[in-house]
Amino acid sequence: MIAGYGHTKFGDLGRVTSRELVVAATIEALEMTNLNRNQIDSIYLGMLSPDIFEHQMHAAPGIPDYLGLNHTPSTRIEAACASGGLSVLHGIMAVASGFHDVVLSVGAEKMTNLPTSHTTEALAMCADDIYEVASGITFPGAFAMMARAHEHKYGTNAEMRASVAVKNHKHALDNELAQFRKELTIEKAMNSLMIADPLTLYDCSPITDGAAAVIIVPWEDRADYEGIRVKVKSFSQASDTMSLHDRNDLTGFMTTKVAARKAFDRASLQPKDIDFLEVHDCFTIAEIMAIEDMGFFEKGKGGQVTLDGETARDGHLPVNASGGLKAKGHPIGATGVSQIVEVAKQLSGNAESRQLNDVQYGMTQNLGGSGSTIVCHILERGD
Amino acid sequence: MSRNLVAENWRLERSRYLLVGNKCTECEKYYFPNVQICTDCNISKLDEYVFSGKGKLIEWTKIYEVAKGFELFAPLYYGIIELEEGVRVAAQITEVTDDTKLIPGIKTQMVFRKLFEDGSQGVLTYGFKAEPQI
Ligand SMILES: [Zn+2]
Repeated sequence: MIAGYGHTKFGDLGRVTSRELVVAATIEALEMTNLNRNQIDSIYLGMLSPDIFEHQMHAAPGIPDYLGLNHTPSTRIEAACASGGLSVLHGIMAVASGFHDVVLSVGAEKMTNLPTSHTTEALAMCADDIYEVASGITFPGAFAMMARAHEHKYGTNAEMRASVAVKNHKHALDNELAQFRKELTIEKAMNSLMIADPLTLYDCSPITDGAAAVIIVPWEDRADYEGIRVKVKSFSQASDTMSLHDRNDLTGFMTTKVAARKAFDRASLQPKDIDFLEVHDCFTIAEIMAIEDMGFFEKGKGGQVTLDGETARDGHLPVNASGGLKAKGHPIGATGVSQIVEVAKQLSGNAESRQLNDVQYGMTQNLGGSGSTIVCHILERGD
Repeated sequence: MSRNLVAENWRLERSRYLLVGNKCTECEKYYFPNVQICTDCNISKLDEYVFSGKGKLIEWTKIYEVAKGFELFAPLYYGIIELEEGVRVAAQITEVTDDTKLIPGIKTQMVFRKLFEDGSQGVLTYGFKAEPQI
């Protein structure tokens, strides 16, 4: 179960290193519990690229070092933008196996050190280097082709895509840790700078610094721990081809379908049982495809239901009440952990002004590359 | 990040320059880039195959914010192409005069062009691009 969480402000955080962000999030998570840092058995660090962003390889031991925990095992997990979700998954497996009792899964990224062109280049390295990157692809370019394919097949238009951005920006108004807390209109989103046709600036998530942490302990021992009680109901992971062009269908991700199915099966739950979602809206079209591929809406209807408000905070299935990657920000390694933190906040009644009423199950979907890695989690309110 | 383009271009000469892949001797499935095992038959007997370069457009985009090294071509057309042998590749689309004619399904031909520049003094990398046959 999740016993505690920590989450730094997301944004351009200036003169700070990723390990300082990690320590800040970790201390906050520990303070929710009755644990002190010496009780952490193992650390899983989700981080895309301390090497490119901060010229630091072998970042994992730097975390126990800066926490004053020398000799505690620490492992960095890299799975592109799914690094954070995968660090949580491995933390859960370590506890579920019975090998560890107290695990820290923490994700972070310090991205604003570099000029934007370098950051874009670093992110592009998550695609297939030889057959995609060297021919000129960018991630906005890859998702632009998916947006076009979705539009051709299902009629998902620019207004529907913009409605994802508008909704998530609106949600972020109630999240004081979010990078952007400014209302956005459909017109402004649709008329912003073209990045890769048809995706404009407001279809894309930003460059962000930040960290998020969770403390994972065995559910059976819950009586021993103070803090929150959010039960891990299931987790899943799936992989697909490195290159987008090696897949037959551009209107969704098989990985999302497979991972979501596994997560539902392992939890003995169905989509109708889930009360809210945090999904990977690195681009607006990605959220539309996610809510379809996970099985919450019929394929092709994701754009229309978003435009109709069904996934707004007051809709029947709130999606990205935190503001999502789009407005909360997307510090790569932190993102998947931040999704878990948001679900834990909602399920423990700690989401303040954006608290959803009467929620029992929340689900996450964290995506790496052009969907080459997907990680899903289902969490349950524990009393 | 630095790349050793001299070594990379030498290593990838056959696939990047010549469109060489392979074909399973058992089920005749084509692969690009070449593979070590046929994933359908689980056998490792494959023959080298040079693709004709004939294909059709599956989907495309026009990238305005191009990656480093591609500034020369900005904004660039980029697409997914299905070769007549059934495999798919991704490539820049070249010689586009009217993008309203870039309709999924149109015929394309892979052609040999400059792909990107490693700065003004660096190595030039060549490879295939797709030319619409309109
Ligand atoms: Zn075969």
